[in-house]
Amino acid sequence: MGLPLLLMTEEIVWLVLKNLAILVPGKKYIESIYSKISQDDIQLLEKEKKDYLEDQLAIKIKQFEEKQIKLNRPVKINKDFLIENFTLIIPREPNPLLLKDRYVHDKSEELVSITNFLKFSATTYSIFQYLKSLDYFLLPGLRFGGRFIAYPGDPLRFHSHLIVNDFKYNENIDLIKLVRGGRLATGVKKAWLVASVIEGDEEKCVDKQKDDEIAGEEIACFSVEWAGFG
Amino acid sequence: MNQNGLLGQVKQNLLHYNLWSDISEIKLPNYTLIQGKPKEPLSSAAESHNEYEIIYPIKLTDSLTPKQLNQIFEELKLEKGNRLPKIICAILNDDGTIVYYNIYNGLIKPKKN
Repeated sequence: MGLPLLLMTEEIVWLVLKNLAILVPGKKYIESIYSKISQDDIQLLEKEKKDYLEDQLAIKIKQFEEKQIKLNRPVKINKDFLIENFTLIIPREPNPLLLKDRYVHDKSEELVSITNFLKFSATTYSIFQYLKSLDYFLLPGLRFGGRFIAYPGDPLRFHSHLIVNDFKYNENIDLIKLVRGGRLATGVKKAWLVASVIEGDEEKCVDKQKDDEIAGEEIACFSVEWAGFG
Repeated sequence: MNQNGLLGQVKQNLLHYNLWSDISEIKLPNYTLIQGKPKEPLSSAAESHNEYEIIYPIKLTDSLTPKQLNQIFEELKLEKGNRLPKIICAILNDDGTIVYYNIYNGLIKPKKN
């Protein structure tokens, strides 16, 4: 996976709320930077581009020298000749991140976007955040017919995952779905998870969850697998 | 006891088809569950040192919500003293077939590969 990354909505919200990322409206970002660009900035960008090319060249020369040594061939040869005839470096566009301080971060606009995301899937986000707080890695669940796939963080427990499904607390799970999901999950060495945000003024009848909850929400989870008999 | 009712059918199936033993009912405030002993332990010794399994019978067409599941575990806790890690859901279709699914309270611990 390389840049640009394609993230889930819940991942974006989580990153922003954890102050690990900011939301930037693309057009406004570019306008903001380029409206204030100065001659010094242009020189900075040009220099960065030149430095990048020189770095890449140095790497290529070093690689060539190492290869020569390996093949027991002379190292000192006409470098200019080589550079002209045998190296290919693709120049990169100037890096706009160099000027990122020019962009004035509009926190309120960012919060509006986040709120729209949350209105769209508030309970799903609560479940996402809860599992993240337990150090699970979460991926989109389409491949297994669920909302997410959850991977326990510990690499020693590499092979088992959960197929996470979100339900409202008073929503009917639909037993046919449970059978289908449970049988599939068991067949691929996973469990089918029923995850839900507890609603109503229930006493805390769920075993106390780890902290990091939004506004005191509690999550109820039930793992389903085929019993293996019958 | 009406052998053709939900409880009766599941008890019969466990006893005669799956060869369970020591089958009895557990009456909770809002639910009636079945307790029994499988022919062989269903899972590793660590998990089933108890040897008895708890079955919740339900029709395929019935409703089951996360709230109800929570309630079952909670009522069982009051009955048994502590919150059990798992129950088995017995799902009955109108054609007489019964399927059994484990429902664990919480996130299941990953099994070693």
